[in-house]
Amino acid sequence: MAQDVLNALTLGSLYLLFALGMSLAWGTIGILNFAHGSIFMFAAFSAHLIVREVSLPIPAMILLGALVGAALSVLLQVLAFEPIQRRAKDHRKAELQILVGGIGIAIIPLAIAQRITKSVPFGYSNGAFSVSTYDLGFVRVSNIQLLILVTALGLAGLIGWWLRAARPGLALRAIGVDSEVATMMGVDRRRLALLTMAVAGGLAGLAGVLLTYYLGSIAPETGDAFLLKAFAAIILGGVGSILGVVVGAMVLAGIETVVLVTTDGSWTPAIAFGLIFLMLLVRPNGLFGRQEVRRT
Amino acid sequence: MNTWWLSNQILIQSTFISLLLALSIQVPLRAGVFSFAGVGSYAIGAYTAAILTIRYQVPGIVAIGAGVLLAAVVGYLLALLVARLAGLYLGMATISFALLLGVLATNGGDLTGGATGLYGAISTVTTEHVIAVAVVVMVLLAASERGAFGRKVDAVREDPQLAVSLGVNVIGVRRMVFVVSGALGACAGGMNSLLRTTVSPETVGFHLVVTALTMIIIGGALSWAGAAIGAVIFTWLPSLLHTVGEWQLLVYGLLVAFAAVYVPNGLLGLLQTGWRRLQRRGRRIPAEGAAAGTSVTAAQDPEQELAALGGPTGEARP
Amino acid sequence: MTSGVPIGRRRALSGAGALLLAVGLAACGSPSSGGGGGGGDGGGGGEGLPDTIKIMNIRALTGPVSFAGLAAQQGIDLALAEIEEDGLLGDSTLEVDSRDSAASAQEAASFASQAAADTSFTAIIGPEASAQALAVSPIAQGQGIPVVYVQAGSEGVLTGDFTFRMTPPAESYFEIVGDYLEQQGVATASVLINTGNPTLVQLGEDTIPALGEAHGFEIVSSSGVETTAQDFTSQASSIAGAAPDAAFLMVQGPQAPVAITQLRQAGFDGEIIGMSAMGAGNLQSAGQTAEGAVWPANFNAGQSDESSQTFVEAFQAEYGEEPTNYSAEAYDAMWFLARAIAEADSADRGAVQQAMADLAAEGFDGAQGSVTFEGNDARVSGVLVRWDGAAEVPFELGEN
Repeated sequence: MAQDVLNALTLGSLYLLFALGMSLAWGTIGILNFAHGSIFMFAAFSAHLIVREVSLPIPAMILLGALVGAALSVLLQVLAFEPIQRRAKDHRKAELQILVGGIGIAIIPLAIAQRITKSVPFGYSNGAFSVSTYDLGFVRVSNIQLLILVTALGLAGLIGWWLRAARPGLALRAIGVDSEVATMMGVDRRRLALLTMAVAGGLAGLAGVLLTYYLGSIAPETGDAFLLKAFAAIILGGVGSILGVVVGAMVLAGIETVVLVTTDGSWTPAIAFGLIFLMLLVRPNGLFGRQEVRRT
Repeated sequence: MNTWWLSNQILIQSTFISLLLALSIQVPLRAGVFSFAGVGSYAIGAYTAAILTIRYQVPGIVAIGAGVLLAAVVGYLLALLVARLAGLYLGMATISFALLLGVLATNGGDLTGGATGLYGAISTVTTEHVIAVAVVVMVLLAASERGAFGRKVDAVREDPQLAVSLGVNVIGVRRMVFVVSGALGACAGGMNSLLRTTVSPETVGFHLVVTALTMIIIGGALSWAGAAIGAVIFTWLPSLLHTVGEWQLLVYGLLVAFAAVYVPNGLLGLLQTGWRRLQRRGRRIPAEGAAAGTSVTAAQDPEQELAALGGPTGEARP
Repeated sequence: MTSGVPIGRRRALSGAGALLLAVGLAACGSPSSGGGGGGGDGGGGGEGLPDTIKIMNIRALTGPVSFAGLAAQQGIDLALAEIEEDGLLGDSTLEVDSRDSAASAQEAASFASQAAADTSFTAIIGPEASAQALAVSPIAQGQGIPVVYVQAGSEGVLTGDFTFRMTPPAESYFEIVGDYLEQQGVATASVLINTGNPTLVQLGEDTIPALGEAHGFEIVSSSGVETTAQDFTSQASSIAGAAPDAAFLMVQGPQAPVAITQLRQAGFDGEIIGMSAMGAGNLQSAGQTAEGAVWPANFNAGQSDESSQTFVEAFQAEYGEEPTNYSAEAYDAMWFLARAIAEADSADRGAVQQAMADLAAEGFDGAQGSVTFEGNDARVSGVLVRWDGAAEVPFELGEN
C-alpha cells in the first residue's frame, strides 16, 4: 500500500515535470505547444549523444537538457509562434494555427531522432550516475525517485512563487488575464513571451533528462505518450493554475495507479481521456482554474 | 490511364476517404465549432461496417449506412453534451472522445477483435462508389455554402449573438453540424474498413486527428474546396517524397510547419488572392462574377476570413 | 553500402559487384550450397525466365518500426548479392523495387496494389507491421500475386495460397522456454502484457498459461500495460510484492529495458522471461541491470546451425555488425522467393506461387536454421537467448 502511494506520487511527479512547462505557456501567453513532447525528447536525446562521448555527472546532464530544451523552445517561438501571432489578428485563429504548427514542428526532432537511433531506446548508461535502491522495510525507494519527487514539487513551488511574487511573473499573469491592458501598462509582451517559452522549454528538457535517468531509457516516441497525459493533468487542475497542475498530475497518477493495481490494466489509457472529457463537461475551468473562461 | 488507375487505386480511394474525413472536421469549423468528433465517428463507422459485414454478411451499403446513422445519433447526443464548450476546450473534449473510442475498441473483446482488430470484411464496395459518394457530398456542401443558408452558417460563426437576433437558430445549426460531421466521418470510416477489409485500433488513432487537421489547414478551412486540395496533397505527398528517401518524415514536418505558419489561409486562400489580383488587373471594375463563385464569397472579407476559425467571437474582437 | 536507403527504384545489384569482391568467399559459400531447397541445382538454365524479374519490397524504412525495416533491408540486399553471385537465376536479374511504407497501412496497401496491377511484378516481400499486412493480404490474394511476409505476426495475415510468412509466430517456439523454467525449478510466475499488441496479448493470455500447465508452474498474477506505457513502477511493485519465481514480460522492444530495470529496482530477483522483441539490441540501454533475462527467439547470431553461421559470417563481412532476427528473416524470404522463381523457371505469378508452396512443403536450411512450414507459415525450433549484461548470447539447456 505504502509502495503504491509512493509509486503514484512518482508517476504524478513525472506527469507534473512534463506538464509544468506546458501549463505555464498555455496559461500565461496562451500558447498550447504541441511540440512540447518533441522538445522534451530531443533534449534528453542531445544529452544522450553527449554522454556517449564524455561521462558527465547528473547535475551537468540536467543543466545540459534544460539548456537544449530552452534553446529549442525559444527557436520555436521566434520562428513559428511569433510570426503566427503577428499575422493573425484574431486570437482564436492564432490558437488553432499554433496548434497545427506545433504538430508539424513536433515531427522534425522526432524524425531526426528516429533516424539516428532507428527507434531503438537510448539511455545514459555511460553517465557517472547509478541508480541505487533503499529498502526501508515498508517501502522501497530509489535515489532517482527521490530526486524526481523533490525536483517536481520544488519546481512547481518555485514557479508558483515566481508567478505570484516576482515582477516578471506578475507581468506574465497580467498578460494571461488581459494582454491588451497589460501592454498598455508597459509590459513588454515579446520579451516576456520569449522568457516564458525559454522557461517552459528548459522545464521540458530537464524533465526529459530526469525521466531518462528514472526509466533507464526512452524511445524517440516517448514524448508523444506524455503529451496527452499532461493535457489531462492541466485540464483537470485548470489552465493557468500551478497548484492545479500539481493536483491534476497527482490525481491522474493516483487514479491510474488504483486502476493498474486493481484491474488487469487494459483500461488505463481511457482514464486520461475520460478525465479530460468529464472535466470539460462538468467544470471547464478545472479544479483551480480562473473563473473567466471562454464559452458561448 | 487504365494501368495508372489500377496501380493507384488505393491512393485514389484514400484521397476521397481522407477528403470525407477532413470534411467531417471542416463542416463544424465553418460554423465556428472546433470539433474533432468526426474522427471518433470515423471509428464508429469503421467498426460498425466491419462488424455488420463480417457477422451478418449485410450488403456494403447497409453496413456503411448503419454506421452513418449510428454516428449521426452519437453526434447529436455529443452536441447536447458539449453545448457549453467552445474553442480549444471543445477541441480537447472531442479529441478525448475520439481517443476514448479507440480504447473501447481495444477492450471490446470478440465484438471488436481486441488489439488485433477485425479482418475479412469482404464486400462489393468499389472505388467508383467512393468517388460517387464523395462527389455527391461535395456538391451538397458546395450548395450549402451558397445562398441564404450559407450566409446563415457564416453568421453563426462570425457573431452568434447577432445571428440569434436575426432569427437564426444558432443552437440548431450547431447541433446540425455535429450530426453532419458524424455522418461524414462514419461514411469515411465505413468505406475504409470495407475497402481495406480490415480495421484495428491503431488505424483509428490520434494520427487521424493530425491528418485531417493538416489537410484542412493547408488546403484552406473555409470551404470544402480547401479540404479537397488538402486531401489530394496529403494523400499523394508521401509518394512524391520518396525521392528524399530517409528524410521523408522530416520534409513532411517542415512542410506542415511552414504552411501552418506562413500560409494561414491555406492554399485555397492563396489561390483566391491570386485570382482576385488577376481579375483586378484584367478589368478595373470590381468583378461581380467572382462573388458568385461559391468559395470566393467567404474570402472576400479579410476580417471575416481571419475570424473564420475562431467560432463565436464576442470577446476576441473589440 | 546503402543500408536500406529507400530511394525509389533500386537496380538489384547496383554497386554490389565491388562489394562482392570485398566480401569474397564468405558470400559465395552461402545458402544455396547449404540450402536444402534444391533451387540451386535447377536454376542455372533459366530459359523460361525473362531478363529481369521484378519484386516489390515493402519496408518500413522510416518511422517507429524502422529498426525492423532497415535491418530487413540489409538482409534482402545481402541475399540479392549472393543470389546474383550464385547464378541461381542464370542470366536473369532480380530487380527489387524497395518502397518505404513508413509503417502506414495505407501506403503498404497502395504499393501492393501497384505491384498487383503492374504485370511485370512477380511477387511481393510484404511489410512488417500486422496492420499493414492485414491490408496487403486481401489485395495479394484477390489479384493473385504471391507475397512473403517478414514479421507481421498477427492472425488473419495469411489468408490463402498466395500469402506466406517467413517469421515463425512466437507462440510456435515459445515452448522451449518451458524446459528452461522447469530446470530452474520455477513454480510460480507473473505475467505483464502490453494490451495493445495482438502478438503480445496472445502470448500472455494463451501461450504462457498453457506453458504453465505443461511445465508445472502457476500464474500468480497477470497485469496489463498500455501500448505506449513508459512507467511500469506500479506493475513492477505488485509483481515484486507477489514474489514469483519468474516474471514474463510481454512488452514491446523499447519498453523491455525500462520494464526490466524497474522490476529489478522494485526488488524482484527471480527469472525474467521475455520474447523475441527483447532482442535486436533493445536491452543495450539497460546494460548490467538486465543481466540474466532470457527469451526464446527464432534467430540469434550465435546459434550453432551451419546455415545460420554461414549467413552470420557473410553478414558481418558485409556490414561489420551482427545480424538481428529481422535481417535473418528477410534474408530467408529473399532466398525463398529466388529459389521458387528458379524452380518454377518462370516469372509467372501462378507458377511461382506453386513453386513456393512446393518449397514450403520441403522446408529449407536458411539463416534461421532449419525452416519448415505449417501451411504457408514458417516454423523453426527456436533458440534460447540470454542477456549477459552486454550482449545477447544463445545457450543450450543444461549449460548452466
